[in-house]
Amino acid sequence: MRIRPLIAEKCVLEEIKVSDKWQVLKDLSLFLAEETGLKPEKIEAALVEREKMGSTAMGEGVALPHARLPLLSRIYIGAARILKGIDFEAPDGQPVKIIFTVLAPERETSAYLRCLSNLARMLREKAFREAILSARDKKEILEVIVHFDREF
Amino acid sequence: MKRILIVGAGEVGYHLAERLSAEGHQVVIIETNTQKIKRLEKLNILAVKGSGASAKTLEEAGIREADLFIAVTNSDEINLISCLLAREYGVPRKIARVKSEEYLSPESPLNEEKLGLDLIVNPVRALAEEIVRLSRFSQLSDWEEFGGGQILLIGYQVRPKTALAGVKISDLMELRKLYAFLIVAIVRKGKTIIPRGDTILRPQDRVFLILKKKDLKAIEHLLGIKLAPPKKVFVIGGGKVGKLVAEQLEKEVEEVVVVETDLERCELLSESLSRALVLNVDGLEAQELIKEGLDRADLVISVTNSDTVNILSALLAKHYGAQRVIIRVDHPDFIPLLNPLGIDKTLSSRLVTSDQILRFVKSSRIFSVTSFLETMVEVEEIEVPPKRTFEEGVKIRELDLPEDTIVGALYRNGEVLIPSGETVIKSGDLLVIIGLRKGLSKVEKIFEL
Repeated sequence: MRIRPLIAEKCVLEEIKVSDKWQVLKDLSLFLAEETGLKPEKIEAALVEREKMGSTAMGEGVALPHARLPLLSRIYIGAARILKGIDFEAPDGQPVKIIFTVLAPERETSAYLRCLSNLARMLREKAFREAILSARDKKEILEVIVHFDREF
Repeated sequence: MKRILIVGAGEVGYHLAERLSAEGHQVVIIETNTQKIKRLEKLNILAVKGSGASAKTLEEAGIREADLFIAVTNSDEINLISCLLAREYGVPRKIARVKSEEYLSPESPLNEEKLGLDLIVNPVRALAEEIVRLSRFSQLSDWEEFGGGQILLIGYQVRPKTALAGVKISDLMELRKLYAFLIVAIVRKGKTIIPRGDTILRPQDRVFLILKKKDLKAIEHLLGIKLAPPKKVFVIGGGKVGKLVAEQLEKEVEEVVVVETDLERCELLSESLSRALVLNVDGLEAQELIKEGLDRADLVISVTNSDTVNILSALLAKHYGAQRVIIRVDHPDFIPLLNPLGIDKTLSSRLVTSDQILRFVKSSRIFSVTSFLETMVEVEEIEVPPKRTFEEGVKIRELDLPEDTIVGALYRNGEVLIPSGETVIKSGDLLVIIGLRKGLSKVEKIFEL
């Protein structure tokens, strides 16, 4: 499996304009709803529920919100940037600029875990983060993802 | 090193002697039965033939020099008398196994305090307490708390097509910024493994996870498990253990059904239990029990006096759909067979008793110790001593810990950390170390306990 085929293209966003992290989750849910066919409120509720268990910010300006959802047919991944950065209650206190969102079916097995872990591995690489941030448009963001994508 | 005198080389005495001498203590056992003495030979433990209630035998075994006295014969009277004798000889710490309930309550004319004992272990109560403790979380096989309850060590059986099946340990390590938990041990086909980065988890593995209690909800989410307490519990066997377990569980669980074959005993149970349903049925009458919802039970606890009935009733319950079973088995040789058959948890009153004693015995720098009975996994809390090397701080990686051990958690000034090899430890830190016995003894040497 690779990350690229799981990317929901309507949810690759060069820039979202939001004021706080809850707004981020709300906005992303709208885009994810369009692609998945689920209700945006359902997606938002699941992401918020998970976020309340502990911040999904990982440090180094990166967050990885994720949730399981019933009725979802497969794993969907979204990618978004907030170039000015936003407070996400990160462990290192740094503002978050890159957000990858993962939605997985309720009964998804190890694929969900491996997908998250693979994204976490990619995001740990400085070169990947820098390339995502300097990509000029959506097309380039996707190219960067393909470039760093590895079989998992 | 301590000098430890154990009276009685039955299951408990044998197990204690084995463990304590493996930890480097000097152990002497007093036993009347020649065959049991013979069995000790392979442990290389000195045995004295005679009764623990005889001053002459005690002197021969070196009671005057003993630091710790443990009386665990099958007879309450011998255990108590020998402890009284030990008191007269001035042994500082004394522990007795006592089956009778009479000595346990603070009101009784003779109790722990009046007998001058440091610990009385009642096997029935110890077993019942352990069962109740393990009953609270329906999908887990084990649950231990450390660091004043901030750290959890949980045992979880990986089922096919669940989140952990097929996952590599190093994949989990990538997630540590989001989910700070460690898999510290795996029991696979009866063998215990301390995992490395390239270890891949398989269905039927029983994994031990260490985590911060506050992260439990998030980790439940990730792994797709729910740790809700059980709603419907069957207790098969209404003897002493069954009664104690049912009394406690009916306070916490919606539906408790007690199954007992003896009619008179059923009447007594009905009187003393307030909410639980008492059924006068044999624990192997599956069809009768299904009428009461055995197939929908979250948990079945089999604690009759017969190992065979316990094993078979648990297997039947599992076959018909019960989620999880905990059983009592007194024959130690059966224990390794049962987990592969689908029995989630096996407890023996003897092993629970010796565990309780071991927890008590451990030296002062070790705050708590736990072993998981059917496995070789042991856990110790160790305080990093005020030695110069540690005052300056050392990376865990540089400690050169034995391969079969792992530092699972660290707490410092009330803060808990799930560490990695790069984490620096300092004097005064409390470490939770998990490993196999041999490795742990080496760890104790590193910290010079």
